[in-house]
Amino acid sequence: MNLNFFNKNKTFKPKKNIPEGTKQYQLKKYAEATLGSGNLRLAVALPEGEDLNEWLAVNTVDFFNQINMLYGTITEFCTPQECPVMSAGPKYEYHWCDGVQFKKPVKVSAPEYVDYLMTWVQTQLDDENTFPSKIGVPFPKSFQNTVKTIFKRLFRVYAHVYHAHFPRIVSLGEEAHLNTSFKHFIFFVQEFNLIDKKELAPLAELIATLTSTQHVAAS
Amino acid sequence: MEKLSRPSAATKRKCMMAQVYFLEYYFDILTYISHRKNRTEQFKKNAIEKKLTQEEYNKEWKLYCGKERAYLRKRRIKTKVDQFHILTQVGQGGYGQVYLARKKDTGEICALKQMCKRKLLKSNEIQHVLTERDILTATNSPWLVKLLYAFQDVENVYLAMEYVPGGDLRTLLNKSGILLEVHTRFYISEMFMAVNSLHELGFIHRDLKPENFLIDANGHIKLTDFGLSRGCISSRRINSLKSKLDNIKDKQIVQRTIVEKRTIHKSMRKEKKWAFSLVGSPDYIAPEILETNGYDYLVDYWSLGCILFEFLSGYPPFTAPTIDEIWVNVYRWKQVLERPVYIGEDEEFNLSDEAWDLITKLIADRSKRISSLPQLQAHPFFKNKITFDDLRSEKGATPPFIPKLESDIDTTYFDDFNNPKDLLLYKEIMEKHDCKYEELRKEFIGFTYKHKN
Repeated sequence: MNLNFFNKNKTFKPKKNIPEGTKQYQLKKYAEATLGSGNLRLAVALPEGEDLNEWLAVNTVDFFNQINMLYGTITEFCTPQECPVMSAGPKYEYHWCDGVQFKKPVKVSAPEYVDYLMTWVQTQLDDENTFPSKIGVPFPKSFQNTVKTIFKRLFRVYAHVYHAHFPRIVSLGEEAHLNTSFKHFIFFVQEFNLIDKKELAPLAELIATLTSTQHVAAS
Repeated sequence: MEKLSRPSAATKRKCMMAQVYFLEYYFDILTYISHRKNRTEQFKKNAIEKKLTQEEYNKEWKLYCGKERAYLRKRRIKTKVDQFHILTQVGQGGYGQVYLARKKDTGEICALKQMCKRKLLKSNEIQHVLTERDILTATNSPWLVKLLYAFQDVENVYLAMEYVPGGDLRTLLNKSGILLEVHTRFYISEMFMAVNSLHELGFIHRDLKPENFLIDANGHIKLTDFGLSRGCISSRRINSLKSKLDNIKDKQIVQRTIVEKRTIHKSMRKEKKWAFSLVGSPDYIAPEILETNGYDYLVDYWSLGCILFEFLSGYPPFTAPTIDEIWVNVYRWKQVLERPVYIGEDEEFNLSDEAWDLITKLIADRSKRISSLPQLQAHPFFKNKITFDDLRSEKGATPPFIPKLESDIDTTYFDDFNNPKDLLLYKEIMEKHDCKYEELRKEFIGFTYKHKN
């Protein structure tokens, strides 16, 4: 199977033409000028003097929002009929288990799985004891483990979208956003070592392409 | 292989939202990173200039990093309703309440509109709320109420909008009964400007009524409630209106005198405002909305024509005691529309010929209706009497009514929601609209918004 999802010439290319002079147009120009040139790698690095947990926290929320946006555009097509199991290609299948409501892994459809997953992440983000919102309140000791679990699970949504819905994403003109978002996600994961290599296997080929493209661009 | 059927309107909207979201997100984060780098460099430069000792430097550096960290934490926090201090209730609709509120961290005063997701879903209104949110974020017009924040929790969606303290035109009309022609000219001009700026964004309001026009602190008009604005209202609603009209259109028109119409309207006004908040009063709706040939932005011109009539006459042109009767009157508008004529001591209420001519060029067949802003401005009712472009500038006329406000949180010009009798009436409206929980999370993707300045 050819996993040529990522075309370096299409890093950021919204499908529709945006009228010149509008705010959106300026944003587009800005994004085009900055995203192709290795700035995404710089965007993940811990800023000088910043608390690691604070940086992990704000980025976790951002990636959750990105995935929510992206998956939201295909909920019409990711149905229990089309996707009766949560899979990432023929070799990988995910069963839901959160240790609370589902103590043993349960086979559920992809939309159910994603709904459980996103609701679970949302619950973590809304939990004051895990993601404190008041200025000065510290993060708990278990924080980095929680973040790793969140990233591991969020990755599965990308994996399912790439394997099961990529043609749809292309037809909706969204592949540039998906690719940018996933590339950013992977850079972040690599920078802070958040996901085990074996968990990344379903998209290993794509990740290799992404990182080597970056390598060429940077040299 | 997945079959690629055509995406629904909801999916198309989500794609558009995603596109804007990603562009803005990467714009923001790249700007943040470069600005932060500059701030750090600036800090170091200052430290050298100030010749700090190592100990002093460490202390200042810690302080600086604390500030940066606090900023990051603030950025992470979602807007939530508990970040608003609710001051008082200023409105009530079928889907929820409007409060005057102050955002705790910034001190911003806003009108916080809370809408129940379940009720919106049940009445098929989710699309309308999303439309309203999109219009509000797309605009910078002084004629349209600005959106400050949009956010949601499990049960409700919220729009935090600029608070416009002078009340709405319905309240003003209730107090004054009839407006002088000179005041009418001012308001209707501003209303046309407001509606025009909505049209320029590509939206049709299609349900304009005096309640949608608010008076700001300087006495100028702002349009609000774009919930129903869109080229197409839900076909379900259109069909229900059509079948309703089929049932009643053969009913006899009830002939009424001007005095009767005025009395009916006066006695109904208060109840109407509430009872119609769900179904929508048909008083101002253009008849072609129910025709199969479709309609365009000129339906809003019709509505403004009806409001113009009401300003000068004290009642809307098709008023009647029941909604069915109003529908019949709108349907048979050619027979019903009548110039009010007064004799004796009421003579001063008679409409000028220019005013009546303008009304009949707005409440007119689609093909004969005034169809552009320049055409409107050239009408003798306005010509040489008002300069539309100067309306909001100092060169323009002084607004007829400038609200007298004690403070930025003065709610004198809004209904009092502490009166138990009023609340009982509202409760009835609410109960009609209750429903069971359904899966709602995905319906409101792309709703959240924070203003930048």
